[in-house]
Amino acid sequence: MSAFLQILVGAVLQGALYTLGAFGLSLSFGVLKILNLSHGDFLMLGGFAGYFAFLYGGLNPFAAAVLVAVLVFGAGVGYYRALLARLPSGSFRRLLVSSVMVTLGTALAIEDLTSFLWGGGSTGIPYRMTSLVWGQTVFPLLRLVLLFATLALTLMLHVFLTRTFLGRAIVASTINREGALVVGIDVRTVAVVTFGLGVALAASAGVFYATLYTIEPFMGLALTLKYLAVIVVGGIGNLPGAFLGGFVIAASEAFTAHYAGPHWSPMVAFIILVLALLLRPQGLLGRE
Amino acid sequence: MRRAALVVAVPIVLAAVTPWLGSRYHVSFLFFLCMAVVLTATYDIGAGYMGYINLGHGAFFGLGAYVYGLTVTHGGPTAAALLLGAAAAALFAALVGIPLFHLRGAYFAISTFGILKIMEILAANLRGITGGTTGLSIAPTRSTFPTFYLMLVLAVAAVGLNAWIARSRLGLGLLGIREDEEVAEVSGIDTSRLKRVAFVLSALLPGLAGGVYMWQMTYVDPASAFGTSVSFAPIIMAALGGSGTVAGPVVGAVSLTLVEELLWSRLGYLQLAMYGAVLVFVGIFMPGGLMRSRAFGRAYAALGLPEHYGYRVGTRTVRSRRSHPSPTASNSCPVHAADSEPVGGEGRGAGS
Repeated sequence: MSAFLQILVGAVLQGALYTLGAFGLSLSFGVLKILNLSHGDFLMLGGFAGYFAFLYGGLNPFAAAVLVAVLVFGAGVGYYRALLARLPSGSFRRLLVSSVMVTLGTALAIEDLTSFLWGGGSTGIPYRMTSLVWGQTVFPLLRLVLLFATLALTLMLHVFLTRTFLGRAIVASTINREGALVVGIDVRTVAVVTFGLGVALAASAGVFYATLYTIEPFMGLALTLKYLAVIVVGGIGNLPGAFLGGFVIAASEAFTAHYAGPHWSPMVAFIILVLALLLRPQGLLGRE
Repeated sequence: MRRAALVVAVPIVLAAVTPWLGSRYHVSFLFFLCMAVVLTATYDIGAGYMGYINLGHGAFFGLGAYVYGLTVTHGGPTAAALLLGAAAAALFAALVGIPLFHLRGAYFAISTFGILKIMEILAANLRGITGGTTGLSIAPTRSTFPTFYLMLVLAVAAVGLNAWIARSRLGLGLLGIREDEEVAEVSGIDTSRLKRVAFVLSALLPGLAGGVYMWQMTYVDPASAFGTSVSFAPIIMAALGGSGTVAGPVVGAVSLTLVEELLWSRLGYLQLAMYGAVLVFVGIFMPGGLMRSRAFGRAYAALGLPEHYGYRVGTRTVRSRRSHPSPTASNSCPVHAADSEPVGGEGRGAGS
């Protein structure tokens, strides 16, 4: 029973982290109709940036996450302006083909260059906090703080998307791009901001990820696929759905690792992804 | 026409005499070149003609390699092992195709990648059968002759298959699906049957090639069978050469393999980054690939190769469907006419 509960609590943290990392992918796919296969690499880059900020700048992961988010927002805007805004977008199929080519190419280039410069191997941010001990139970303080930071960020994102004009414009563009254009939303600005915001979120999630787990240069593509599972389960462009999706996948992974062995857990997300696409492509919380 | 026959025959003959005249290095280089042609040409049946991007094309290859290795380790004869590998790949495609073709566009692409990953993890985890991450080894063979010639035959067969598809009713149907699946459906094309047939066709030869690869290398592990590079190389090569043309995958596979061999094998690193840069460049500046670029189109025409195998696959449909030439097809530069994708125009209605 205690193992069950422990796994469940761990899954909440992992799921929150998944949501934070994955939601940008959902936004860029929803608003820009671009399947960004390089999304996971921004998480990886954010993790490495946080690692170096901690090692050489002495920044704690929370300050580093803010810094990295700002930097990667700029990088994402540059990436979008330089490459993705130029994609031939005559038809949906052509945009899909060219976006797969360009983002896959970017992903391969980023991963290989990072591995070349970094030298291979995995690493993590060696940031530790003392644990709280309450009677017999030990609360890992770092995990709790990270959970609250992730939840706070997700909540801020939710407020941004539902309460501010820009956020609502983004959501409107995911639902109906033409409709958004008709009511006077500057879809181009929305597109740039969406993409920058998406990769910035992934990068800040990367800093937390590197604090909890380890990162390595070639993790990006598999991670992108896992994040696709998260957003497909939750429904494209749906933040509460993504949160649910993140939790579902994190929990199934944790339980699989516990009951069937850790080497089976990487497969869970992919199975869920394929099943979700086949059974409920609109997402768990989505409507027909 | 005679020149065209020469252009096709000379490289094949040159390749065929290499084991007698060339070194082991040449033979091995050509072996992998032919493998790249097989994988790229068959990948393009899905992506180029049908318009369905298969991010997990390597699954067929890997399945063929593993089935070959397992059959041989259990005492099966080589020929049976090869055929079983191809049959396994085709059966896999037929089964996976049933649910997968309910999906379209990005969702189809994502799930093929997901299935590739599932296969990789299965190969790594089912240690009792596949040997896990340490891989599967078989007894080495004495001669490289049979594997080399088999791969050469497979490469010729793959290109021949594409040439046949480009001219066949099946190919026309696939182009219809690519341009507008709803229109194809209401025009009386059995789209779901056609998609599955094309998927199985695109799986057969990679399955065989996987077996031949295993025969030659005598070793396979999850990364070399189901790893991303096996699946992504055909995507990059097809895009570079010109997706949806018969000559394009060959041009892409040959040019990228050559560049890689001449430049990057000496460098020894940043090979993936080079792949990535090529992909980004082609995706933005040359979405039609080399075959649809002006220079290549001219060279192709000068060689006297039939244009419906080159940059004009599918143009035949325009003539039969429309009484007047489409505005894009009357463009002064015929090379770019193919870029306008004649059957349905861009998406819905833009071409009319």
